Amino acid sequence: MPYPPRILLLTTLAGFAGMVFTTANPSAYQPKDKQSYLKHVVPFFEDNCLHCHGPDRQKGDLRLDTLGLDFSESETAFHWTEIMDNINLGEMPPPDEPRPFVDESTRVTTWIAGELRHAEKSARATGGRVQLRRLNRFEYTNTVTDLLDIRFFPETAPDKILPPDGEWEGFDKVSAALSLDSTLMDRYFEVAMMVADLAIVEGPPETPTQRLQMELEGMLDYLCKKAEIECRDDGIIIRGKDVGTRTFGLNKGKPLFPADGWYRISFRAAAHPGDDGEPVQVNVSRSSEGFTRKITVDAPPGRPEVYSFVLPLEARGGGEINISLVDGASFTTGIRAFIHFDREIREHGKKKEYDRVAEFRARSGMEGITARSMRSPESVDSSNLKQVFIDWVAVEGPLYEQWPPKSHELIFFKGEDAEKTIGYAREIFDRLLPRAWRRETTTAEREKIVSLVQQELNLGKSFEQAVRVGLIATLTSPNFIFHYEPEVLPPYRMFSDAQTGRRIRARVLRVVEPSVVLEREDGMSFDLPLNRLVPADREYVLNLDATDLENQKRPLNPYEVASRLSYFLWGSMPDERLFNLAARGQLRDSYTLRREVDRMLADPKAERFQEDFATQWLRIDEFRAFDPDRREYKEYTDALGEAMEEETLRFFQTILSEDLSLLNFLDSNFTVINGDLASLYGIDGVEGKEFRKVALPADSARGGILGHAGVHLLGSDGIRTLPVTRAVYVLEVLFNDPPNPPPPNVGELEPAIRGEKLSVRERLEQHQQIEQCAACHQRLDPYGIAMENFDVIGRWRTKQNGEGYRSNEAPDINPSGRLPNGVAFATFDEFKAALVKQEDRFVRAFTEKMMTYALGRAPEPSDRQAIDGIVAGVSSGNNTAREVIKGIVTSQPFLTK
Amino acid sequence: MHITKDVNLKRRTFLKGLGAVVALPYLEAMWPTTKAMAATTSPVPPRMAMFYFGTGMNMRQFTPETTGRDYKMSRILKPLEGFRDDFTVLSNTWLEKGGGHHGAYPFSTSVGFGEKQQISPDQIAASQIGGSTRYPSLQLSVGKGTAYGNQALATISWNEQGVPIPAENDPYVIFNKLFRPDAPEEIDNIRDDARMKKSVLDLVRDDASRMNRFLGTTDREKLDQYFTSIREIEKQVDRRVAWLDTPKPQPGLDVSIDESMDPDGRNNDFSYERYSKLMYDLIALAFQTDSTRVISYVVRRELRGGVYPEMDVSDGYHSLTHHGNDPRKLEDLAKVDTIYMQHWAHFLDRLKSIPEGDGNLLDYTMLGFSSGMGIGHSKSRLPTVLCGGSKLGISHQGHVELEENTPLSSVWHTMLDRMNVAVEGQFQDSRGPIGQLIA
Repeated sequence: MPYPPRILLLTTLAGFAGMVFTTANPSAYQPKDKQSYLKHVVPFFEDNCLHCHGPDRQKGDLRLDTLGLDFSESETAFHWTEIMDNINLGEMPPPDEPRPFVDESTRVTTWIAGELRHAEKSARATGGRVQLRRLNRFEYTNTVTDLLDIRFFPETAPDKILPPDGEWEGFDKVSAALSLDSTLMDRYFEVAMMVADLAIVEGPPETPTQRLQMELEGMLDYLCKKAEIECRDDGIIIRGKDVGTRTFGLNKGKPLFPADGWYRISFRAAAHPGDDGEPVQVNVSRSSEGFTRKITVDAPPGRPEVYSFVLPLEARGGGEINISLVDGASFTTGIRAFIHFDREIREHGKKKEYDRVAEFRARSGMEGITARSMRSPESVDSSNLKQVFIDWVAVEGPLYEQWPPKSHELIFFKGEDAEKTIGYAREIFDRLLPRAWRRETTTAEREKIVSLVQQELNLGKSFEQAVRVGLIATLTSPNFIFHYEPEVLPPYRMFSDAQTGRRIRARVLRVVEPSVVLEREDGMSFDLPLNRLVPADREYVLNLDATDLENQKRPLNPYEVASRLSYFLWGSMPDERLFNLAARGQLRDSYTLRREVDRMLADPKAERFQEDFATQWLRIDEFRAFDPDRREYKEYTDALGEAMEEETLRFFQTILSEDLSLLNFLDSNFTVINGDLASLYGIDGVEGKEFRKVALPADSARGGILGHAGVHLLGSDGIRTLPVTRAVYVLEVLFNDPPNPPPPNVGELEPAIRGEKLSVRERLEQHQQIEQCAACHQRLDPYGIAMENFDVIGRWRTKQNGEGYRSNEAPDINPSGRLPNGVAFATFDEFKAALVKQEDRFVRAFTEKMMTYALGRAPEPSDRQAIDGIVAGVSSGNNTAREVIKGIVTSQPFLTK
Repeated sequence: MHITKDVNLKRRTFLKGLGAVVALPYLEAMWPTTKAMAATTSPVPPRMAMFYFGTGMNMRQFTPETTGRDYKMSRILKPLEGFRDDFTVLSNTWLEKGGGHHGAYPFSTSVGFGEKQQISPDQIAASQIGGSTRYPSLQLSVGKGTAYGNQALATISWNEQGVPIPAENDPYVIFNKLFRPDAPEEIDNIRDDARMKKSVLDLVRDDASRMNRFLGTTDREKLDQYFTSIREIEKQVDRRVAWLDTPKPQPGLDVSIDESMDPDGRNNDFSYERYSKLMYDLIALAFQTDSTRVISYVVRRELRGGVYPEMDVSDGYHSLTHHGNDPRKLEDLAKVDTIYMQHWAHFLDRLKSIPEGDGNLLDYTMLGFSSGMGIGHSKSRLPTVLCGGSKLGISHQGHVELEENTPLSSVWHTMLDRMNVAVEGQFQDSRGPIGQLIA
């Protein structure tokens, strides 16, 4: 049956987004490579297709010789996609017809794929201009935090309330993906109201700070009966594990955590290290849920000290504070019985009365007395045991940095005694508005907010409450939510009214005949019939070219530069210094811009950029998308997985903060690891949870990003490696050169079938024998096969593992191959060397990625020159990320709208 | 400091006062207003809900071996045996843009990942029939928000502009939204907030109009989203105020929710069974009280989670789907899917136990579930089932083998048709409502 015409076109190809956008002016669309069409596609159609899809017959309603080349037109694009898929799948020409040569059909499908991508890019193209985009949720949170000097409770910070943002080109900064709908707008309201409530206070805090100190001596009758605890006049001593100093009851019915907020937990303690000499650590935890902190108690016996820490806690769950000894001796209540059994078993054992031994073992087992290494407190000299003395435990909170909070003082800058007049409100928003909207604001803009405040006052609201409403309006205005960069406008000039003779200074916003929209310098705008203007002015207006009003690139004003800089490197609004520079009209010359980059990168706020960019560029958040099969990969733990993410992030931070060459991403003589990773990597001398920069031996495979276990975990499905995914990672992440999408319905590689022990490589090679697959895979697979020495969890291997392979029957790994540029390699090391040789390609890709992040749009042909310039500058220097950043912020695309 | 009272900042402590919500007998008299309102339009309103089970199912154990009304239940469907006359298994459904892990994108709209989305069927229904209930529609999910851009999309509802509508995953929040009565002083606050919101909206609309004059064509398109949003919020505020005089209904089932639950959090006390049944109970309650007539629910997100410690299987759901013909993994998959169907049976049981019209609530409610893939990441052989709606003109057929590659949209089309919701022009890639199902 004939299907109704499909409305939505273009297949989404396994993992790749194919898009169709309608351009404003489809007729303007030009194919990217018409030459190839004429040279390869037309003859191919003539030889293979036209007898069924040509002038005489149009099987499936498809005629190829008249099929247009306007790929921006969705119907056309759909037909081309179908043609590509059918050729790729080998379904066309039909099997009973002569086969075209593979290289001929490949040329056709490659051309189609290229054109589709070109069409997609053109449709999304912004004409090389930065598009209006809203703040993403992290930018929003950072901006509010910096604007009002506010400290959010982590659970209810704006980034938890605002929904996650869309991503495009791998980044959550791209206008195309940052859409706005009513639900989000509703959240903006909710957040603004919450912020206003937090920032502005009336009267004392709802929950005043309290401090509850709980003396432990003499309060813990039931605990004192335990062997592991010794109760003394001045406190208690804990020796065993699994017991602790509960604070139960000591708070005398008062909740320890009366409200969500920050709390300081403190305790006075001293410790005796025990015979292993290791420092004594205690776990401080909240009994309900929430937190455990490990604290080292280093005060010697008899000289206790106070230990404390501050952390955010929710009131929910109540609970008490529990302190217990880390690695304390084992005691249990069954201890005496155990000693009895243990003695019996040993004695009967000596006498070789094994049936008696078995009997005692069984009985002790039945009674749950099984811990064989258990020590009795009486049987050991307690001076050899780890022990900790605790005098008291205290909880103080909720803590307020100060009251009223800083944000309140910042807004009500005249102090609490100031007269609460509308004039004061005016001053408040005079100070606040330009910072909130990151630009100079007009009197008219301020007055609108002030009249809202006045309206609330008229309704009998308190001054604070009225200012809150003004703040809510400030934060929900598009001026706050969007990175607003207006188009160029004609200059202000004098206009004369022909009727009244009045003169006003204004500029033309828009001409809508028979009227003109004029704007005064104070921001007031109004319509005026053209015939009211004196003839000279009318002529001026009518002669204004529409392009004078829009669609022309213009240099940014200094405030806009300040914002682009700060959202690029801090993910937040400009600081005072940037505002001052903008106000003085600086931030134009490259000397100042480069100097500001240095200053900004040295600021702690730059950590936001490092983490954000690294995570998105290197896909760190996708490392653990597949959980490794815990039976095949017993070494894998959640902690190891977290360490993998941490390694890549810290590696990035090290390269950036130490100004190391970007080429370290391709190969390096160091990495940044902790003990867990070091043992996975077989590197000696690195222990513990702390991460540190470690020099790698010359023969180590761990240099560069492709040595990181996390990257290989990402390129696996938890059971076996996915060389094609790894290859795509190299091409997309390191070279910003995504491969053509696979045809639809391609399966994954068949899993290894028992009895037929093929390596992943052998299975891929089988796949390459399917001629339709060969063309792409021959270019793609070598990048992934080269990394086959890394197993699912990124461990080095020389034989196939996983999928039930046992070492004696597993095939050897053969990573050799040839890159599309003809360079052959035998080992992973040689492969990496071949990549390092393509350093220009990498530096360009890195620049493009960072440019996308900085501009909120993908690079376009018009950026070519700027990128060439940056790459040339970086390569002739030390190849540092800092130089790339400086190159971007001084480039024409960054400095124009 | 009253202006945040309406938002959920204090949600964690608030419901304590209401106590563990007690078993209230179902008393029609308790909400005369809504009932009366319903009575004037149609005797019993139709309801619909769509459900997404991410990452497919073990279709080898899902698809029944025989067809027709007397088919033999498959292993996974076995828990639903007692309801065999209340649902139809629809084999051979297909998502052209599905398969692989972007299947949640085309699930309800047929529009693939990366393409401009369009309105989903639930929202088409909500726009036409949502006006007479407190909430035009509800979006539920095991994950909060939209997660747009991510494979593990958290919602299957898309508004008229093709923007994903965020879903809620906390039963506590949903419960409060549906049933927590507004206290008198709260009602005053809400009115005052509504007034304040509208003044702010007037102001920011003015800001946006001014801004608009300075923008080029493409930027204006972006700002249009802002205009649309504030218009929509104005409507919502009006709607909220209009409903203030109608007290919220009281739930008729013994559902007790006294604190937040977060299936995304790593809380050891979290029981998926409890969570899952609560969510289904809430849907039943929302329909029973006519708080809404349209719901979407992402029961299992693509790739994410899908198994919980209590299910006692060897690996994550997604890892299991890469079964490589390993019998253990296939077994584990079937085990997990069966557990999901046990919860589903609880849901059907709930709906069936609630009298409605001249039958029960299930008779007046259509529930359609499926996935973005079948087995082995395929775009065909989706696990598709349509339940309920016998009094809405659905005639259940047991197990039906549809024509090869029948678009999933045909199932949604069937539901819309039986909801009496008009569809303009071609509906997605549907070949029309499924004839066999229409009585």
